[in-house]
Amino acid sequence: MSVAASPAVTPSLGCARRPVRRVVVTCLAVLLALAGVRAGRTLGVEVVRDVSTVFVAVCVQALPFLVLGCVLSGVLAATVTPAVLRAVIPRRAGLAAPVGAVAGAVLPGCECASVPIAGRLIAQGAPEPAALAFLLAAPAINPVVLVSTAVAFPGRPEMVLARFVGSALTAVVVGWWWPIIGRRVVIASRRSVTDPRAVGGSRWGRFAETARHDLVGAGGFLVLGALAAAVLTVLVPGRWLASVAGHEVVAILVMALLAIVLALCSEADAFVAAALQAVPLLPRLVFLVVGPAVDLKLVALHVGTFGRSFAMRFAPPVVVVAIGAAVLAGLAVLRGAG
Amino acid sequence: MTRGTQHVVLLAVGVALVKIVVDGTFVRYVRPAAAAAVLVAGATIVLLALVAIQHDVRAPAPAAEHGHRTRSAWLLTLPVLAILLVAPPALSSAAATRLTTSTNATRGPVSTVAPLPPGEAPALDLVDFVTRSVDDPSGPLTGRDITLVGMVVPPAARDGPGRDLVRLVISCCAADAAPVRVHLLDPARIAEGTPVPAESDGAGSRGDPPTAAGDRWVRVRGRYVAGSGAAADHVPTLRVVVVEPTTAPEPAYEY
Repeated sequence: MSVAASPAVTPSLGCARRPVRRVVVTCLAVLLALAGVRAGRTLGVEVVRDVSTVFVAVCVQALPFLVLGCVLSGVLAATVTPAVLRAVIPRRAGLAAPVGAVAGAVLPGCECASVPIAGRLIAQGAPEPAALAFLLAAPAINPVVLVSTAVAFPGRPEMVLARFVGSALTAVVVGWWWPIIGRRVVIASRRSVTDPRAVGGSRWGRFAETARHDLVGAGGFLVLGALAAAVLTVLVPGRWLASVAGHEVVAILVMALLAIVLALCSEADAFVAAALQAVPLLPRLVFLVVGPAVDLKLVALHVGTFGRSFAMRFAPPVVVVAIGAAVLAGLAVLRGAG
Repeated sequence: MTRGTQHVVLLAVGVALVKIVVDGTFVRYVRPAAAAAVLVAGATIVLLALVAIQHDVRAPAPAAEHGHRTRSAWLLTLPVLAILLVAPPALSSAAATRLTTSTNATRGPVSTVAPLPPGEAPALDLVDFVTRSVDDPSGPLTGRDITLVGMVVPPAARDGPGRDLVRLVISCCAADAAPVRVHLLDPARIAEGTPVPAESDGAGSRGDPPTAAGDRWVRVRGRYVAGSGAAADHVPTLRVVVVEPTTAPEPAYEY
């Protein structure tokens, strides 16, 4: 197991660097503000306005799910002890990953809810393959997403099956593979809350403090992801999508990239994919499978919840597996259906 | 960030979420159906912060909390500042022009099952009108006058005179907005002459206009040009009869 408690910060080193860090951060903030004003003048006030609209929109859309995830994380901390988790979830990756994926299938909601829950599961001692499979499966194969995919692609029910297979495959394969490739990666457990209110005390107290703590920890990263996504969503021109429609391999890579850049929640990405009628079905399936697994908002949340080293090591293999799983599912289900 | 500051920031976030639902401006960002979720989330955040404040007042927390690790929470002030100070309007016609993809937005064929509303010039959503005309270019729309509300913009990739009517369709939130266009056939150039409404005309019932001040919202009554729904880019044409400026609707999006 690679879960570690939060490393103790050597006070002398950390405090000595603080004034310098503060100056650097202030300078960066001022530079960013100036750059923003300059960008506003060159790009036009409307662009800045639209970026702020999309930014607020992504925050407002995602926050209810993040709150839900943090509340459920609090419930987990207050009611489910590590012993129970260890008894319920199989230890070996072979069984743990599918169990996690199945558990993810019953939680409706966008990615933002699954991150705090997966973090809490790991902190409570659940085997990592199960928690990570849950993390990837919950946003992608829950009933709400499947229904909205069916509605967005009327007359093409095979898209629903292909999406389900692709995302489930991604979750299970990553769950199996992670213990091998992530052996040396330590998940910086920001969840080890040292405050006594969270460890001892009443159930309500544990619940409230854990939920609040997770919200404060993850909320800032969600905002960061939303900001990045808003800038890219507004600035990426829609027209160049039409030009990739010809080459299928290029289209697959472009759609995977688009899925990462656009922080769409998994209930709505089906409608966006359905609207891109110039693009063939297989690349659009890649878009639907990669999006809920890795996007800017999610990577930001991963950094906040699991630590930067984990997030940086986790994202690339997940993208590769997701593209592969989507292509396999697409070839099997879409082409097979004729 | 100290515990006290965390509570204040959380309170601000929760209050901002509740505020935009209560005064209705949340429709500029998310679907109307999301109102309950946003309201409950805002109330929950406020509650969690208040509970923590109450506990801290009774039994102050130990001094050295891991203040280093919650520096990221300062970023939570950004959406609060955006909502309370900037109050971003709904996406503008500039966004609609910028977001144009090759295919016009349509709903699924389910919506064409419902018959056209009765009346002389029934009001339709742009996306409803486009879907019906694309689905059946020579169907029941032919020979009917239709009333549409949208923003007047220069035509997309077409040279020459004329204008398009455009609105934005969203599925989940403003991040997935897609434009829906109707080409206006306007030999008398009525649409081009429509004045941009003055600031006070554009103001909604809440004082600040729901969309950007430069947008030209009009109500157009016209006749569907038969067969135009079969155009390659799925943009049907409407022959203009009457154009009048109107205030921006809230919500400004279609769904």
